[in-house]
Amino acid sequence: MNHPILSRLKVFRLYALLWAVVVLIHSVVLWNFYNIEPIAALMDGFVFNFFLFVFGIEIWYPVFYIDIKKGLIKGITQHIFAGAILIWLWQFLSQTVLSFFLDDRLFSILYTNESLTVRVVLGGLMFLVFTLVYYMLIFFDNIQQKEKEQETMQRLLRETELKALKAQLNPHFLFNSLNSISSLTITDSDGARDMINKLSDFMRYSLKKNENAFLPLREEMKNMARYLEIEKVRFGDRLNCVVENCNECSDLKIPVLLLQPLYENAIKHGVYESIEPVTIRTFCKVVDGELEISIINNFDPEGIVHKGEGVGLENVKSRLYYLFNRQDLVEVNIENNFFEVVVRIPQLIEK
Amino acid sequence: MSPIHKVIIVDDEPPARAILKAYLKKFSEFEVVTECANGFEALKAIKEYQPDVLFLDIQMPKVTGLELLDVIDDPVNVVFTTAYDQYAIKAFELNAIDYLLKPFSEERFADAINKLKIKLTNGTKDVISVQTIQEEIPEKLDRVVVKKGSQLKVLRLDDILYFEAQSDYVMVHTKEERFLKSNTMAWFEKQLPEQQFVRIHRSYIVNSDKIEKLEPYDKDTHLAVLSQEVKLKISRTGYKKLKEVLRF
Repeated sequence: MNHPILSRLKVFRLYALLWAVVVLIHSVVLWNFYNIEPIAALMDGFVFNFFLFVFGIEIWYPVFYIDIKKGLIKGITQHIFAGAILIWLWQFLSQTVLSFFLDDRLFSILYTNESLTVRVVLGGLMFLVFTLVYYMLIFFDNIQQKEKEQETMQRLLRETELKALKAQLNPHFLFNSLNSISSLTITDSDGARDMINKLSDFMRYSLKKNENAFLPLREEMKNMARYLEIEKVRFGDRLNCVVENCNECSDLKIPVLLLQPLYENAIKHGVYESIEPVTIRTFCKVVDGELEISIINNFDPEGIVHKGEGVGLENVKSRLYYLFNRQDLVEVNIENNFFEVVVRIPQLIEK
Repeated sequence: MSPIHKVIIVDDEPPARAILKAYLKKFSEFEVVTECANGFEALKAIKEYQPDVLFLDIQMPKVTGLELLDVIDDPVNVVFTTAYDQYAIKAFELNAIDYLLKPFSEERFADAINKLKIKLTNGTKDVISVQTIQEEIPEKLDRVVVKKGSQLKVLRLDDILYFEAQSDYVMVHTKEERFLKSNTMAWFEKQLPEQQFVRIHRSYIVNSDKIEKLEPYDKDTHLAVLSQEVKLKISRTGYKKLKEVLRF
Protein backbone atom coordinates (compact mmCIF):
# COMPACT_ATOMS: atom_id res chain seq x y z
CA MET A 1 0.00 0.00 0.00
CA ASN A 2 1.28 3.47 -0.86
CA HIS A 3 1.47 6.31 1.62
CA PRO A 4 -2.14 7.46 2.08
CA ILE A 5 -1.22 11.16 2.26
CA LEU A 6 1.84 11.51 0.04
CA SER A 7 0.58 9.33 -2.80
CA ARG A 8 -2.36 11.59 -3.58
CA LEU A 9 -1.95 15.32 -4.12
CA LYS A 10 -5.57 16.03 -3.21
CA VAL A 11 -5.25 14.36 0.17
CA PHE A 12 -1.94 16.10 0.81
CA ARG A 13 -3.51 19.52 0.15
CA LEU A 14 -6.38 18.72 2.48
CA TYR A 15 -3.92 17.57 5.14
CA ALA A 16 -1.90 20.79 4.79
CA LEU A 17 -5.06 22.87 4.98
CA LEU A 18 -6.11 21.07 8.13
CA TRP A 19 -2.82 21.94 9.81
CA ALA A 20 -3.06 25.55 8.69
CA VAL A 21 -6.39 25.75 10.51
CA VAL A 22 -4.81 24.13 13.59
CA VAL A 23 -1.97 26.69 13.50
CA LEU A 24 -4.53 29.46 13.44
CA ILE A 25 -6.57 28.08 16.34
CA HIS A 26 -3.42 27.39 18.34
CA SER A 27 -2.19 30.96 17.91
CA VAL A 28 -5.53 32.57 18.65
CA VAL A 29 -5.93 30.52 21.82
CA LEU A 30 -2.45 31.52 23.06
CA TRP A 31 -3.10 35.16 22.23
CA ASN A 32 -6.61 35.43 23.68
CA PHE A 33 -6.55 33.15 26.70
CA TYR A 34 -2.93 33.20 27.75
CA ASN A 35 -2.28 36.86 26.80
CA ILE A 36 0.78 36.03 24.78
CA GLU A 37 1.99 38.55 22.23
CA PRO A 38 0.59 37.94 18.74
CA ILE A 39 4.00 37.44 17.11
CA ALA A 40 5.11 34.89 19.68
CA ALA A 41 1.73 33.13 19.62
CA LEU A 42 1.86 32.85 15.84
CA MET A 43 5.47 31.68 15.89
CA ASP A 44 4.72 29.04 18.49
CA GLY A 45 1.60 27.89 16.65
CA PHE A 46 3.52 27.62 13.42
CA VAL A 47 6.65 25.85 14.66
CA PHE A 48 4.88 23.53 17.09
CA ASN A 49 2.41 22.40 14.46
CA PHE A 50 4.78 22.36 11.51
CA PHE A 51 6.77 19.57 13.10
CA LEU A 52 3.55 17.74 13.98
CA PHE A 53 2.58 18.11 10.34
CA VAL A 54 5.86 16.50 9.27
CA PHE A 55 5.78 13.77 11.91
CA GLY A 56 2.15 12.95 11.13
CA ILE A 57 3.34 11.92 7.73
CA GLU A 58 6.28 10.06 9.26
CA ILE A 59 4.18 7.96 11.62
CA TRP A 60 2.94 5.99 8.61
CA TYR A 61 6.23 4.17 8.30
CA PRO A 62 6.35 2.40 11.66
CA VAL A 63 2.69 1.42 11.15
CA PHE A 64 3.50 0.08 7.70
CA TYR A 65 6.67 -1.80 8.60
CA ILE A 66 5.91 -3.16 12.06
CA ASP A 67 4.11 -6.48 11.72
CA ILE A 68 1.75 -6.81 14.66
CA LYS A 69 0.95 -10.38 13.65
CA LYS A 70 4.49 -11.43 14.51
CA GLY A 71 3.88 -10.62 18.17
CA LEU A 72 1.52 -8.12 19.72
CA ILE A 73 3.74 -7.14 22.63
CA LYS A 74 6.78 -6.80 20.43
CA GLY A 75 4.80 -4.65 17.97
CA ILE A 76 3.42 -2.39 20.67
CA THR A 77 6.88 -1.96 22.24
CA GLN A 78 8.27 -1.00 18.87
CA HIS A 79 5.48 1.54 18.39
CA ILE A 80 6.03 3.08 21.83
CA PHE A 81 9.74 3.29 21.13
CA ALA A 82 9.15 4.94 17.75
CA GLY A 83 6.63 7.30 19.37
CA ALA A 84 9.07 8.30 22.14
CA ILE A 85 11.79 9.09 19.62
CA LEU A 86 9.43 11.14 17.49
CA ILE A 87 8.06 13.12 20.43
CA TRP A 88 11.54 13.86 21.76
CA LEU A 89 12.73 14.88 18.29
CA TRP A 90 9.67 17.03 17.80
CA GLN A 91 10.19 18.87 21.12
CA PHE A 92 13.89 19.24 20.52
CA LEU A 93 13.42 20.67 17.03
CA SER A 94 10.59 23.06 17.92
CA GLN A 95 12.42 24.37 20.99
CA THR A 96 15.63 24.89 19.02
CA VAL A 97 13.85 26.77 16.23
CA LEU A 98 11.79 28.90 18.64
CA SER A 99 14.79 29.85 20.79
CA PHE A 100 16.56 30.92 17.64
CA PHE A 101 13.79 33.29 16.53
CA LEU A 102 12.47 34.54 19.88
CA ASP A 103 14.30 36.36 22.64
CA ASP A 104 14.77 34.67 26.04
CA ARG A 105 11.89 36.49 27.68
CA LEU A 106 9.24 35.35 25.21
CA PHE A 107 10.73 31.85 25.06
CA SER A 108 10.58 31.42 28.82
CA ILE A 109 6.91 32.52 28.83
CA LEU A 110 6.08 29.89 26.21
CA TYR A 111 8.15 27.12 27.68
CA THR A 112 7.33 26.70 31.32
CA ASN A 113 7.49 23.26 32.93
CA GLU A 114 3.73 23.18 32.93
CA SER A 115 3.38 23.95 29.24
CA LEU A 116 6.03 21.36 28.38
CA THR A 117 3.92 18.65 30.05
CA VAL A 118 0.83 19.76 28.15
CA ARG A 119 2.80 19.76 24.92
CA VAL A 120 4.22 16.28 25.42
CA VAL A 121 0.80 14.86 26.36
CA LEU A 122 -0.73 16.54 23.33
CA GLY A 123 2.04 15.13 21.15
CA GLY A 124 1.49 11.65 22.57
CA LEU A 125 -2.22 11.88 21.85
CA MET A 126 -1.47 13.03 18.31
CA PHE A 127 0.84 10.11 17.86
CA LEU A 128 -1.85 7.73 19.06
CA VAL A 129 -4.52 9.24 16.80
CA PHE A 130 -2.28 9.08 13.74
CA THR A 131 -1.26 5.50 14.43
CA LEU A 132 -4.86 4.39 14.84
CA VAL A 133 -6.00 6.21 11.71
CA TYR A 134 -3.22 4.60 9.68
CA TYR A 135 -4.11 1.18 11.04
CA MET A 136 -7.70 1.72 10.05
CA LEU A 137 -6.69 2.74 6.55
CA ILE A 138 -4.61 -0.42 6.17
CA PHE A 139 -7.46 -2.48 7.52
CA PHE A 140 -9.93 -1.07 4.98
CA ASP A 141 -7.41 -1.43 2.20
CA ASN A 142 -7.03 -5.11 3.06
CA ILE A 143 -10.76 -5.58 2.92
CA GLN A 144 -10.86 -3.95 -0.49
CA GLN A 145 -8.00 -6.15 -1.68
CA LYS A 146 -9.88 -9.22 -0.51
CA GLU A 147 -12.99 -8.11 -2.32
CA LYS A 148 -11.02 -7.65 -5.50
CA GLU A 149 -9.57 -11.14 -5.21
CA GLN A 150 -13.01 -12.52 -4.56
CA GLU A 151 -14.22 -10.83 -7.69
CA THR A 152 -11.42 -12.31 -9.77
CA MET A 153 -12.32 -15.71 -8.44
CA GLN A 154 -15.97 -15.25 -9.25
CA ARG A 155 -15.04 -14.25 -12.77
CA LEU A 156 -12.88 -17.34 -13.14
CA LEU A 157 -15.69 -19.53 -11.91
CA ARG A 158 -18.05 -17.99 -14.41
CA GLU A 159 -15.50 -18.59 -17.13
CA THR A 160 -15.18 -22.23 -16.12
CA GLU A 161 -18.91 -22.63 -16.20
CA LEU A 162 -19.06 -21.03 -19.59
CA LYS A 163 -16.29 -23.27 -20.82
CA ALA A 164 -18.00 -26.33 -19.38
CA LEU A 165 -21.17 -25.28 -21.09
CA LYS A 166 -19.37 -24.72 -24.36
CA ALA A 167 -17.72 -28.12 -24.00
CA GLN A 168 -21.16 -29.64 -23.78
CA LEU A 169 -22.35 -27.67 -26.74
CA ASN A 170 -19.40 -28.39 -28.98
CA PRO A 171 -19.89 -30.54 -32.04
CA HIS A 172 -17.58 -33.22 -30.68
CA PHE A 173 -19.77 -33.87 -27.78
CA LEU A 174 -23.33 -32.69 -28.29
CA PHE A 175 -23.98 -33.56 -31.92
CA ASN A 176 -22.18 -36.86 -31.73
CA SER A 177 -24.11 -37.70 -28.56
CA LEU A 178 -27.37 -36.79 -30.26
CA ASN A 179 -26.35 -38.95 -33.19
CA SER A 180 -25.77 -41.85 -30.80
CA ILE A 181 -29.20 -41.30 -29.32
CA SER A 182 -30.70 -41.21 -32.78
CA SER A 183 -29.01 -44.53 -33.49
CA LEU A 184 -30.14 -46.05 -30.21
CA THR A 185 -33.78 -45.23 -30.93
CA ILE A 186 -33.59 -47.88 -33.64
CA THR A 187 -31.41 -50.49 -31.98
CA ASP A 188 -32.09 -49.99 -28.27
CA SER A 189 -34.89 -47.65 -27.28
CA ASP A 190 -34.33 -48.15 -23.52
CA GLY A 191 -30.72 -47.21 -24.02
CA ALA A 192 -31.77 -44.14 -25.96
CA ARG A 193 -34.06 -43.01 -23.18
CA ASP A 194 -31.33 -43.66 -20.64
CA MET A 195 -28.87 -41.57 -22.60
CA ILE A 196 -31.30 -38.69 -23.03
CA ASN A 197 -31.79 -38.65 -19.26
CA LYS A 198 -28.07 -38.68 -18.61
CA LEU A 199 -27.40 -35.95 -21.11
CA SER A 200 -30.15 -33.79 -19.61
CA ASP A 201 -28.99 -34.36 -16.05
CA PHE A 202 -25.44 -33.63 -16.99
CA MET A 203 -26.29 -30.38 -18.71
CA ARG A 204 -28.68 -29.32 -15.97
CA TYR A 205 -26.02 -29.88 -13.31
CA SER A 206 -23.70 -27.25 -14.70
CA LEU A 207 -26.51 -24.82 -15.40
CA LYS A 208 -28.02 -25.06 -11.96
CA LYS A 209 -25.08 -25.39 -9.64
CA ASN A 210 -23.44 -22.02 -10.28
CA GLU A 211 -24.00 -20.47 -6.87
CA ASN A 212 -22.67 -23.25 -4.67
CA ALA A 213 -18.95 -23.05 -5.02
CA PHE A 214 -18.28 -26.27 -3.09
CA LEU A 215 -20.09 -29.59 -3.29
CA PRO A 216 -19.49 -33.04 -1.83
CA LEU A 217 -17.24 -35.18 -4.00
CA ARG A 218 -20.12 -37.65 -4.22
CA GLU A 219 -22.20 -35.25 -6.32
CA GLU A 220 -19.35 -34.16 -8.54
CA MET A 221 -18.39 -37.77 -9.24
CA LYS A 222 -21.99 -38.65 -9.96
CA ASN A 223 -22.10 -35.96 -12.58
CA MET A 224 -18.78 -37.01 -14.06
CA ALA A 225 -20.06 -40.59 -14.21
CA ARG A 226 -22.96 -39.36 -16.35
CA TYR A 227 -20.55 -37.61 -18.67
CA LEU A 228 -18.31 -40.65 -18.96
CA GLU A 229 -21.25 -42.99 -19.53
CA ILE A 230 -22.46 -40.82 -22.38
CA GLU A 231 -19.00 -40.97 -23.92
CA LYS A 232 -18.92 -44.72 -23.30
CA VAL A 233 -22.02 -45.18 -25.43
CA ARG A 234 -20.29 -43.25 -28.22
CA PHE A 235 -16.96 -45.03 -28.08
CA GLY A 236 -17.96 -48.49 -26.86
CA ASP A 237 -15.00 -50.69 -25.93
CA ARG A 238 -12.52 -47.94 -26.73
CA LEU A 239 -13.32 -46.23 -23.46
CA ASN A 240 -13.14 -47.82 -20.01
CA CYS A 241 -13.61 -46.03 -16.73
CA VAL A 242 -12.51 -47.21 -13.32
CA VAL A 243 -13.18 -45.30 -10.13
CA GLU A 244 -11.41 -46.55 -7.02
CA ASN A 245 -11.66 -45.80 -3.29
CA CYS A 246 -13.79 -42.75 -3.73
CA ASN A 247 -16.39 -43.86 -1.19
CA GLU A 248 -14.33 -42.86 1.84
CA CYS A 249 -13.90 -39.35 0.48
CA SER A 250 -17.43 -38.90 -0.79
CA ASP A 251 -18.38 -36.31 1.84
CA LEU A 252 -15.31 -34.15 1.29
CA LYS A 253 -15.89 -30.89 -0.53
CA ILE A 254 -14.71 -30.01 -3.99
CA PRO A 255 -15.22 -26.88 -6.13
CA VAL A 256 -18.11 -27.48 -8.48
CA LEU A 257 -17.17 -28.70 -12.00
CA LEU A 258 -13.47 -28.74 -11.11
CA LEU A 259 -12.88 -32.21 -12.53
CA GLN A 260 -14.84 -31.71 -15.75
CA PRO A 261 -11.93 -30.25 -17.79
CA LEU A 262 -9.66 -33.07 -16.62
CA TYR A 263 -11.97 -35.84 -17.82
CA GLU A 264 -12.61 -33.90 -20.98
CA ASN A 265 -8.86 -33.78 -21.62
CA ALA A 266 -8.53 -37.50 -20.98
CA ILE A 267 -11.22 -38.17 -23.57
CA LYS A 268 -9.97 -35.63 -26.09
CA HIS A 269 -6.32 -36.58 -26.00
CA GLY A 270 -6.76 -40.20 -25.01
CA VAL A 271 -9.81 -41.56 -26.79
CA TYR A 272 -10.21 -39.20 -29.74
CA GLU A 273 -6.67 -39.79 -30.92
CA SER A 274 -6.21 -43.47 -30.11
CA ILE A 275 -7.27 -46.62 -31.89
CA GLU A 276 -6.45 -48.81 -28.90
CA PRO A 277 -8.79 -48.89 -25.88
CA VAL A 278 -8.22 -46.14 -23.33
CA THR A 279 -8.84 -46.60 -19.62
CA ILE A 280 -9.47 -43.62 -17.39
CA ARG A 281 -8.73 -44.43 -13.75
CA THR A 282 -9.72 -42.24 -10.85
CA PHE A 283 -8.22 -42.60 -7.37
CA CYS A 284 -9.24 -40.64 -4.30
CA LYS A 285 -7.55 -40.42 -0.94
CA VAL A 286 -6.98 -38.08 1.97
CA VAL A 287 -3.45 -36.80 2.44
CA ASP A 288 -2.72 -34.49 5.39
CA GLY A 289 -6.36 -33.56 5.60
CA GLU A 290 -6.52 -32.65 1.92
CA LEU A 291 -8.56 -34.48 -0.67
CA GLU A 292 -6.29 -35.90 -3.34
CA ILE A 293 -7.75 -37.01 -6.65
CA SER A 294 -5.67 -38.66 -9.31
CA ILE A 295 -6.93 -39.15 -12.86
CA ILE A 296 -4.82 -41.39 -15.09
CA ASN A 297 -5.35 -42.34 -18.69
CA ASN A 298 -3.23 -44.13 -21.23
CA PHE A 299 -2.71 -42.41 -24.56
CA ASP A 300 -1.06 -43.03 -27.88
CA PRO A 301 2.37 -41.39 -27.66
CA GLU A 302 2.49 -41.21 -31.44
CA GLY A 303 -0.59 -39.03 -31.50
CA ILE A 304 -0.01 -35.51 -32.71
CA VAL A 305 -0.22 -32.79 -30.09
CA HIS A 306 -2.69 -30.21 -31.27
CA LYS A 307 -2.65 -26.51 -30.64
CA GLY A 308 -4.74 -25.06 -27.87
CA GLU A 309 -4.09 -27.93 -25.53
CA GLY A 310 -3.68 -27.36 -21.86
CA VAL A 311 -6.32 -24.64 -21.64
CA GLY A 312 -8.49 -26.86 -19.48
CA LEU A 313 -5.60 -27.76 -17.23
CA GLU A 314 -4.57 -24.11 -16.83
CA ASN A 315 -8.11 -23.28 -15.88
CA VAL A 316 -8.13 -25.87 -13.11
CA LYS A 317 -4.81 -24.54 -11.84
CA SER A 318 -5.90 -20.93 -11.72
CA ARG A 319 -9.21 -21.78 -10.09
CA LEU A 320 -7.45 -23.62 -7.28
CA TYR A 321 -4.93 -20.81 -6.99
CA TYR A 322 -7.62 -18.21 -6.45
CA LEU A 323 -9.56 -20.42 -4.08
CA PHE A 324 -6.64 -21.44 -1.86
CA ASN A 325 -3.82 -19.08 -2.82
CA ARG A 326 -1.55 -22.06 -3.48
CA GLN A 327 0.23 -23.06 -6.63
CA ASP A 328 1.19 -26.57 -5.63
CA LEU A 329 -2.26 -28.11 -5.93
CA VAL A 330 -2.04 -29.51 -9.46
CA GLU A 331 0.60 -31.96 -10.56
CA VAL A 332 1.00 -33.51 -13.99
CA ASN A 333 2.97 -36.69 -14.62
CA ILE A 334 3.63 -38.10 -18.06
CA GLU A 335 5.28 -41.49 -18.03
CA ASN A 336 5.61 -43.76 -21.04
CA ASN A 337 2.10 -43.64 -22.42
CA PHE A 338 0.32 -42.67 -19.22
CA PHE A 339 -0.94 -39.21 -18.45
CA GLU A 340 -1.71 -38.43 -14.82
CA VAL A 341 -3.17 -35.34 -13.23
CA VAL A 342 -3.15 -35.13 -9.44
CA VAL A 343 -5.33 -32.49 -7.85
CA ARG A 344 -5.25 -31.66 -4.15
CA ILE A 345 -8.16 -29.87 -2.58
CA PRO A 346 -7.67 -28.42 0.93
CA GLN A 347 -10.72 -28.89 3.10
CA LEU A 348 -12.08 -25.70 4.59
CA ILE A 349 -13.01 -26.21 8.23
CA GLU A 350 -16.67 -25.57 8.69
CA LYS A 351 -18.27 -24.97 12.05
CA MET B 1 -32.91 -55.48 -61.73
CA SER B 2 -30.29 -52.94 -60.86
CA PRO B 3 -26.86 -54.12 -59.70
CA ILE B 4 -26.00 -54.23 -56.01
CA HIS B 5 -23.75 -51.37 -54.90
CA LYS B 6 -21.05 -52.15 -52.37
CA VAL B 7 -20.88 -49.84 -49.39
CA ILE B 8 -18.22 -49.38 -46.71
CA ILE B 9 -18.98 -47.41 -43.56
CA VAL B 10 -16.06 -45.67 -41.87
CA ASP B 11 -16.69 -44.13 -38.46
CA ASP B 12 -14.96 -44.49 -35.12
CA GLU B 13 -18.18 -44.45 -33.10
CA PRO B 14 -20.17 -47.72 -33.09
CA PRO B 15 -23.62 -46.08 -32.76
CA ALA B 16 -22.84 -43.85 -35.72
CA ARG B 17 -22.13 -46.93 -37.84
CA ALA B 18 -25.24 -48.66 -36.50
CA ILE B 19 -27.61 -45.92 -37.61
CA LEU B 20 -26.15 -45.85 -41.11
CA LYS B 21 -26.59 -49.61 -41.36
CA ALA B 22 -30.14 -49.36 -40.07
CA TYR B 23 -31.05 -46.63 -42.57
CA LEU B 24 -29.40 -48.53 -45.41
CA LYS B 25 -31.49 -51.67 -44.78
CA LYS B 26 -34.42 -50.06 -46.58
CA PHE B 27 -32.44 -49.70 -49.76
CA SER B 28 -31.96 -53.20 -51.11
CA GLU B 29 -29.70 -52.12 -53.95
CA PHE B 30 -27.03 -51.12 -51.41
CA GLU B 31 -25.08 -53.69 -49.48
CA VAL B 32 -22.76 -52.92 -46.58
CA VAL B 33 -19.77 -55.17 -47.26
CA THR B 34 -17.86 -54.12 -44.16
CA GLU B 35 -17.49 -51.38 -41.61
CA CYS B 36 -14.33 -49.81 -40.30
CA ALA B 37 -13.49 -47.92 -37.12
CA ASN B 38 -10.52 -45.97 -38.46
CA GLY B 39 -8.55 -44.99 -41.53
CA PHE B 40 -6.11 -47.88 -41.27
CA GLU B 41 -8.84 -50.49 -41.42
CA ALA B 42 -10.59 -48.53 -44.13
CA LEU B 43 -7.64 -48.43 -46.49
CA LYS B 44 -7.27 -52.22 -46.34
CA ALA B 45 -11.01 -52.73 -46.76
CA ILE B 46 -11.16 -50.44 -49.79
CA LYS B 47 -8.34 -52.40 -51.44
CA GLU B 48 -10.08 -55.65 -50.66
CA TYR B 49 -13.70 -54.84 -51.53
CA GLN B 50 -13.40 -52.12 -54.18
CA PRO B 51 -16.57 -50.42 -52.88
CA ASP B 52 -18.84 -48.15 -54.90
CA VAL B 53 -19.77 -45.97 -51.98
CA LEU B 54 -17.98 -44.75 -48.86
CA PHE B 55 -19.81 -43.28 -45.89
CA LEU B 56 -16.97 -41.42 -44.28
CA ASP B 57 -16.60 -39.68 -40.94
CA ILE B 58 -14.04 -36.87 -40.86
CA GLN B 59 -12.86 -36.69 -37.26
CA MET B 60 -11.25 -40.04 -36.48
CA PRO B 61 -8.22 -41.07 -34.43
CA LYS B 62 -4.82 -40.52 -36.03
CA VAL B 63 -6.03 -40.18 -39.61
CA THR B 64 -8.98 -38.00 -40.59
CA GLY B 65 -11.43 -38.92 -43.31
CA LEU B 66 -9.95 -36.21 -45.52
CA GLU B 67 -6.45 -37.56 -45.06
CA LEU B 68 -7.67 -41.06 -45.85
CA LEU B 69 -9.32 -39.91 -49.05
CA ASP B 70 -6.08 -38.25 -50.04
CA VAL B 71 -4.25 -41.57 -50.26
CA ILE B 72 -6.98 -43.64 -51.94
CA ASP B 73 -6.15 -44.35 -55.58
CA ASP B 74 -9.36 -46.10 -56.58
CA PRO B 75 -12.21 -43.78 -57.43
CA VAL B 76 -15.12 -44.05 -55.04
CA ASN B 77 -18.28 -42.09 -54.32
CA VAL B 78 -18.09 -40.42 -50.96
CA VAL B 79 -20.80 -39.29 -48.58
CA PHE B 80 -19.35 -37.47 -45.60
CA THR B 81 -20.99 -37.94 -42.23
CA THR B 82 -19.72 -35.59 -39.56
CA ALA B 83 -20.72 -33.32 -36.72
CA TYR B 84 -18.56 -30.55 -38.17
CA ASP B 85 -19.89 -28.12 -40.69
CA GLN B 86 -16.66 -26.28 -41.45
CA TYR B 87 -15.61 -28.69 -44.19
CA ALA B 88 -18.99 -28.66 -45.91
CA ILE B 89 -18.90 -25.66 -48.20
CA LYS B 90 -16.13 -26.87 -50.45
CA ALA B 91 -17.30 -30.47 -50.34
CA PHE B 92 -20.53 -29.45 -52.04
CA GLU B 93 -18.77 -27.42 -54.70
CA LEU B 94 -16.64 -30.44 -55.39
CA ASN B 95 -17.94 -33.82 -56.22
CA ALA B 96 -18.79 -35.13 -52.80
CA ILE B 97 -22.11 -36.80 -53.35
CA ASP B 98 -23.42 -35.44 -50.09
CA TYR B 99 -22.47 -34.12 -46.70
CA LEU B 100 -24.57 -35.39 -43.82
CA LEU B 101 -24.43 -33.41 -40.60
CA LYS B 102 -24.88 -35.59 -37.53
CA PRO B 103 -27.47 -36.26 -36.37
CA PHE B 104 -29.44 -36.57 -39.61
CA SER B 105 -32.99 -37.72 -40.27
CA GLU B 106 -34.03 -40.68 -42.37
CA GLU B 107 -35.48 -38.29 -44.96
CA ARG B 108 -32.20 -36.44 -45.22
CA PHE B 109 -30.42 -39.77 -45.58
CA ALA B 110 -32.86 -40.82 -48.35
CA ASP B 111 -31.91 -37.63 -50.22
CA ALA B 112 -28.28 -38.67 -50.08
CA ILE B 113 -29.20 -42.13 -51.36
CA ASN B 114 -31.12 -40.60 -54.27
CA LYS B 115 -28.13 -38.48 -55.18
CA LEU B 116 -25.98 -41.59 -54.99
CA LYS B 117 -28.34 -43.50 -57.26
CA ILE B 118 -28.25 -40.79 -59.90
CA LYS B 119 -24.49 -40.73 -59.77
CA LEU B 120 -24.19 -44.51 -59.89
CA THR B 121 -26.54 -44.94 -62.86
CA ASN B 122 -24.59 -42.28 -64.75
CA GLY B 123 -21.69 -44.61 -64.27
CA THR B 124 -18.78 -42.43 -63.28
CA LYS B 125 -17.10 -42.48 -59.98
CA ASP B 126 -15.50 -39.31 -58.79
CA VAL B 127 -12.64 -38.73 -56.51
CA ILE B 128 -12.92 -35.62 -54.50
CA SER B 129 -9.88 -33.47 -54.69
CA VAL B 130 -9.07 -33.28 -51.04
CA GLN B 131 -6.48 -30.67 -51.73
CA THR B 132 -9.14 -28.14 -52.51
CA ILE B 133 -11.17 -28.98 -49.44
CA GLN B 134 -8.24 -28.70 -47.13
CA GLU B 135 -7.21 -25.40 -48.60
CA GLU B 136 -10.25 -23.93 -46.91
CA ILE B 137 -8.88 -24.85 -43.51
CA PRO B 138 -6.61 -22.06 -42.36
CA GLU B 139 -4.65 -24.26 -39.97
CA LYS B 140 -1.27 -25.49 -41.10
CA LEU B 141 -0.51 -29.16 -41.55
CA ASP B 142 0.81 -30.87 -38.43
CA ARG B 143 1.33 -34.28 -39.99
CA VAL B 144 1.40 -35.98 -43.39
CA VAL B 145 -0.50 -39.20 -44.04
CA VAL B 146 1.10 -41.55 -46.56
CA LYS B 147 0.44 -45.02 -47.87
CA LYS B 148 2.74 -47.99 -48.09
CA GLY B 149 1.06 -50.85 -49.91
CA SER B 150 -2.28 -51.07 -48.16
CA GLN B 151 -0.89 -49.62 -44.95
CA LEU B 152 -1.36 -46.09 -43.76
CA LYS B 153 1.47 -44.25 -42.11
CA VAL B 154 1.24 -41.00 -40.22
CA LEU B 155 4.42 -38.97 -40.50
CA ARG B 156 5.19 -36.27 -37.97
CA LEU B 157 6.60 -33.17 -39.54
CA ASP B 158 9.70 -33.60 -37.38
CA ASP B 159 10.39 -36.95 -39.02
CA ILE B 160 10.33 -35.54 -42.55
CA LEU B 161 13.67 -34.54 -44.08
CA TYR B 162 12.46 -32.96 -47.28
CA PHE B 163 9.92 -32.95 -50.11
CA GLU B 164 11.05 -33.53 -53.66
CA ALA B 165 9.18 -32.69 -56.86
CA GLN B 166 8.53 -35.70 -59.10
CA SER B 167 6.56 -34.60 -62.19
CA ASP B 168 2.94 -34.62 -60.98
CA TYR B 169 3.78 -36.04 -57.59
CA VAL B 170 5.77 -35.14 -54.55
CA MET B 171 8.20 -37.54 -52.91
CA VAL B 172 8.26 -37.29 -49.13
CA HIS B 173 11.64 -38.29 -47.70
CA THR B 174 12.20 -39.47 -44.14
CA LYS B 175 15.44 -40.85 -42.76
CA GLU B 176 14.66 -44.44 -43.68
CA GLU B 177 11.92 -44.30 -46.29
CA ARG B 178 10.25 -42.26 -48.99
CA PHE B 179 6.62 -41.97 -50.00
CA LEU B 180 4.79 -40.65 -53.04
CA LYS B 181 1.99 -38.12 -52.52
CA SER B 182 -0.36 -36.79 -55.17
CA ASN B 183 -0.31 -33.18 -53.94
CA THR B 184 1.68 -30.44 -55.63
CA MET B 185 4.82 -28.70 -54.38
CA ALA B 186 2.98 -25.38 -54.32
CA TRP B 187 0.27 -26.87 -52.12
CA PHE B 188 2.79 -28.26 -49.64
CA GLU B 189 4.68 -25.00 -49.62
CA LYS B 190 1.50 -23.22 -48.63
CA GLN B 191 0.27 -25.76 -46.06
CA LEU B 192 3.49 -26.48 -44.21
CA PRO B 193 4.59 -24.21 -41.34
CA GLU B 194 6.90 -21.71 -43.06
CA GLN B 195 9.17 -21.36 -40.04
CA GLN B 196 10.21 -24.98 -40.41
CA PHE B 197 9.82 -25.85 -44.09
CA VAL B 198 11.55 -23.78 -46.75
CA ARG B 199 11.28 -24.05 -50.51
CA ILE B 200 14.99 -23.90 -51.24
CA HIS B 201 14.72 -24.92 -54.86
CA ARG B 202 12.14 -25.55 -57.58
CA SER B 203 12.42 -29.22 -56.68
CA TYR B 204 12.91 -29.15 -52.91
CA ILE B 205 11.13 -28.12 -49.75
CA VAL B 206 13.47 -28.81 -46.86
CA ASN B 207 12.91 -29.24 -43.13
CA SER B 208 15.25 -26.50 -41.91
CA ASP B 209 15.75 -28.26 -38.56
CA LYS B 210 17.46 -31.09 -40.41
CA ILE B 211 20.10 -29.03 -42.15
CA GLU B 212 23.52 -29.79 -40.71
CA LYS B 213 25.45 -27.25 -42.70
CA LEU B 214 25.55 -25.28 -45.92
CA GLU B 215 28.28 -25.86 -48.46
CA PRO B 216 29.21 -23.65 -51.40
CA TYR B 217 28.41 -25.42 -54.66
CA ASP B 218 29.53 -23.13 -57.45
CA LYS B 219 29.94 -19.42 -57.86
CA ASP B 220 26.71 -18.28 -56.21
CA THR B 221 24.75 -21.38 -55.31
CA HIS B 222 24.89 -23.56 -52.22
CA LEU B 223 24.17 -27.06 -51.06
CA ALA B 224 22.11 -27.92 -47.99
CA VAL B 225 23.77 -30.83 -46.26
CA LEU B 226 21.35 -33.00 -44.31
CA SER B 227 23.66 -35.97 -43.97
CA GLN B 228 26.60 -37.59 -45.67
CA GLU B 229 24.34 -38.93 -48.41
CA VAL B 230 21.74 -36.20 -48.68
CA LYS B 231 22.84 -32.90 -50.18
CA LEU B 232 20.23 -30.65 -51.80
CA LYS B 233 20.76 -27.84 -54.24
CA ILE B 234 19.72 -24.38 -53.10
CA SER B 235 18.66 -21.77 -55.64
CA ARG B 236 19.51 -18.11 -55.20
CA THR B 237 16.00 -17.16 -54.03
CA GLY B 238 15.94 -20.28 -51.90
CA TYR B 239 19.12 -19.14 -50.19
CA LYS B 240 17.50 -15.81 -49.32
CA LYS B 241 14.47 -17.55 -47.82
CA LEU B 242 16.69 -19.88 -45.83
CA LYS B 243 18.65 -16.94 -44.54
CA GLU B 244 15.46 -15.40 -43.17
CA VAL B 245 14.30 -18.57 -41.45
CA LEU B 246 17.65 -19.60 -40.02
CA ARG B 247 18.63 -15.99 -39.29
CA PHE B 248 22.26 -16.06 -40.36
